[in-house]
Order: sequence, then C-alpha cells, then structure tokens
Amino acid sequence: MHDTSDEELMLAFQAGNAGAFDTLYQRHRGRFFRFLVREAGSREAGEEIYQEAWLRVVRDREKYRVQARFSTYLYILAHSCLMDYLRKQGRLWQHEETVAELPDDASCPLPTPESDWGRQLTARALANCMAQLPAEQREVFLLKEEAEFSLTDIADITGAGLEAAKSRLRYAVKKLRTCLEAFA
Amino acid sequence: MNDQDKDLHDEKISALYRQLPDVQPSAETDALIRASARRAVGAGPQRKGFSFDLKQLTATAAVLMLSVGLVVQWQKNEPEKLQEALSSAPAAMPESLAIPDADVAPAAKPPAEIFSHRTTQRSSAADKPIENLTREATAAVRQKKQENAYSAPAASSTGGMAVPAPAPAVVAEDRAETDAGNWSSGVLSHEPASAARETSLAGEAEKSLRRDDALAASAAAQRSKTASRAKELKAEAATKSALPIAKNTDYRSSMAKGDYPQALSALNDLVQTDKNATLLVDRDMMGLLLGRQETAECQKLSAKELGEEKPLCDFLVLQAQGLKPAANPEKLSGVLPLISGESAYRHPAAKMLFKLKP
Repeated sequence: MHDTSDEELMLAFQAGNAGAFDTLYQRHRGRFFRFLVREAGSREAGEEIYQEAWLRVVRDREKYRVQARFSTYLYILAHSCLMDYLRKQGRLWQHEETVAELPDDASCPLPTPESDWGRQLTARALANCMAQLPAEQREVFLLKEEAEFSLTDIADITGAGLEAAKSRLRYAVKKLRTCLEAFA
Repeated sequence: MNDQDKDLHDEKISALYRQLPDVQPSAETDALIRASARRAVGAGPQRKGFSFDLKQLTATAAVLMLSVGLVVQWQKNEPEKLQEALSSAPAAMPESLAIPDADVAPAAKPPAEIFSHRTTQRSSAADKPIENLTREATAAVRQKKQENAYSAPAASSTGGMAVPAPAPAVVAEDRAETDAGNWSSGVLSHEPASAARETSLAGEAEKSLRRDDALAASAAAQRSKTASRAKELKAEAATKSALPIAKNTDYRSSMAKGDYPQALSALNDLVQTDKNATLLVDRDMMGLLLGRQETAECQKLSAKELGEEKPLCDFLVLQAQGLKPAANPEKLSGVLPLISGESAYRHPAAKMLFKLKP
C-alpha cells in the first residue's frame, strides 16, 4: 500500500477500506499538523483545526472526486476550517503567536554548550518574524515552505488568483528578510 | 512565472525554517481521528443527507403537529371540563369521599364476621351500578386482601382448633404482620407444605394491604384536591356572575317584550354600573348594539383586517368578555361598517360595549 497514490488510498477509503485511511493519515499528519499550528499561531488552535479538517475528510468521503491531488484537497479543507475557526474566535486573520508562546523544553530544548546558540536564536527569530506577517502572507509562505506546494496549488488552496498568491509570497519573503536582519 | 525567483524564495530563510522545532499531533488526536475513520467505514455506506434530513423533518413535524393539536384540543375542552367539575363535583364529593367503615380496620373483626361482611359487600357491589372506578378497584383489592388474610384460620377451623381473634386495637400498619403471624405460625401447627402455603398467603396479604393503603391514600388526596378546587371555582364563578346575571334580567325581559329602547337602556345601566363586569353578549344583544333592533344574523365575515379568522360576531363577543386584548380601534372601526352599513363603532351602544374592554 506504500506505493499507492494518495488519491487511490482515498478512493479505497471511500469504498470502505479503513487501512487505506491509516496510510493516508500517516503520510500527511506531521507536515499538515506543523502547517496548521504555525498558521493558527498556537498548538491548541492548530490541533483543533487539524482534528476538524481530518474529521471532515472522513465525514465527506463520499463527496471526494479525483479532480486534483489529495494534498490540495486536504489543504483546501484546512483553509476552510481555519477560516471558520478564526471567524468563531472573532479574530479573523489575527495572528497571536509570539516568541514567548513558542514551545520550549522538549520540542525546543534549552541551548547546551554543544548546541548552536546562533542557530537556535535565529530559528526563534524566524518564528517571531513569521508571527508578525499578515495571515494571508504567512499562509502562502507556509504552504510553500512546509507543504512545498507550487504557486498554482497555493492559488487553488487559498482561493486567491495566481498573481495574488505570487504577490503575497513575495511580500512575505521580503518582510521576513527585513525582520531577520533586525534580529541579526 | 518562476518559483525560483529570488523575490519568491530565499534559501537562508528556508534553511532556518527547517530548523524550527518540530511539532506532532498528540496520540489522543491520532487515536480520535483513526477511530472516527474506522467507525465511519464500519458503520457501512453513509446515508444520503437528504433522505436523513427528510425523515428527521417529517418526524419532527409530526410530533409538533400532534403537540399543537393536543394543546389546542385541551384549551378547547377546558371550559367544558371546568363546567362539568362545577356541576358534578360538589354533589359527588361526599359519596366519593366516604370510605366504608368495613374498609378501615377489617383485621379487628373475627373471621366469621369478616366473611359475612365480605359476602354482603360482594352482593351489594353486584347490585349497584358502577359509580366510581377507583372505589371499585379499592373494594376489589380489599376483598382479595381479606380472602388472603383469613384463609388460614378458615382452614384451621375445620381441624377443630381454637382461633383467637386479633385484638381490636391492632393498627392498620400492623395488620398484615399480625394476621400472618397469628394465623400461620404462632397458633396453628400444620404440615410443612401447609405452613409454606400459609406463609405465602400471608405475604400476599401483606402486599395487598400495602397496595390497598397506598391506593386509598392516593384516592383520598385526589378527592380532597378536586373538592377544594371545585369549591374555589364555584365561588369564583358566583362572584363574577352575580351582578351581570341580575341586571341581565331587565334586559332579557325588555327584549322578550320587544321593547328595544328599554332593553338598550337596561344594557346601558348594566355597563354603567360595573364597567368591569363580564358581559355575555348573545345574538340578540349584538343586534341591539348594532342598532338593528332585531336578532342579529351573525354574519360570517372574516375579520382579516384584524388578523383574525374568527367571525366578527365571535370577535365582538370575545371583546366584550374581555377574553382578548382590545384590538386596534382604528382597524375595528374599519370593519364594523361591513355588517352594519354604518359606522357602528360610533353607535353609543357599540361604544358601551367597547368600554368593557380592559
């Protein structure tokens, strides 16, 4: 089943194969979760959206048709869930993550003499700079960096036009550069 | 478009991004999602949303309609029930409240008396018509109890043994225990099978007694409640109707004589005397009020302007009785000419009528 494409797995799940879903889930869980946590601004919010998106995949499996890649379909659902969540929270496109909220201890260990202080600090700086981006730009940046989507896919997922997606990405990269220079 | 455009991609930023701390979903989340998928597949193919919704909607609509229908029916019937309670409850009350003396403490009597009483009770019950289901049920339970409680001594008397009668002071709560104890274990010595049967009978008797007591208490409480409510309603109705009934006599006699001005005057007196009186307006009175001086034909004109589907006469009667809050007078004045050919709202009698409105 490991050679099977995502789309075939989804169709198998649609036909009643629970194992196909497990494989599909395992393939996407880490990347998809990271994207949502970083986009939503907190682990709690990201996890909630993550659950909702996957449950929607399960619930709406009958409606699934192979018109695009499954990953595009999944991230479109995630985008929709994210919008719903933010609307419910009354903070549509308002990012709240700060450096202080970044996970520490296990997931972000304190620097040791052996660790690279500069690299840790710069990664934290990047997280802080990402948090300062407008949500639309951050979403496009994350879709590119985390999920490795092409600009065409990003345009499909976000519902923005290709040029808009391109423009957002350009602004995001530019702002991150400027921000990181300030931390340097 | 070129994704590798320098403005769109920065290798340094990408490298930094890959160094961000990893985050993974919790095990609980994984389990929840996987379980959900398995459950969905295990439950078979999904039902179509539309058919499910349609069924749900149909069921909900049916339940709602039934509920509304019941409420409307209840509201319609309520006045009749009240009237029925007013007329019948007080008369029936003393009889229904009375509990036969024999039912109070049968255990205090000797078995022979009990049996004779039971026979009498049976025959009288057979002769009399059924008056009260509760009473009949109570009597049946008590009879059964007596049969059970005293079957042992009846059997023992054939053996020639002396059977002491229970003390008269035995209270009702102790009846079953006393009866069972005296008759089955203390006095009589039987074979084991017979003793077991007696024990069983005693147990039944005890249960029967308890049921009987609970039933009697419940019935008494219900009767007491009904009686007090009936008294309240009767007193209330008497207070309300005292004045209008007396005054209506004048109006009625004038109407019977065909003296319409006098009838109108009587009506006027009535209204002036007590503006808060509940005035029952019949068709005659309606005709008078509308200035026809004849029996009004209650025209079935739908007063849609008032948002009412009731015939206009009914509407006016309701208004006069104060059962419905006053409608907008402007609208009312627009409707009345439809039946009177003139602005009946300006008619003095009609104004009197509307004065009754709260």
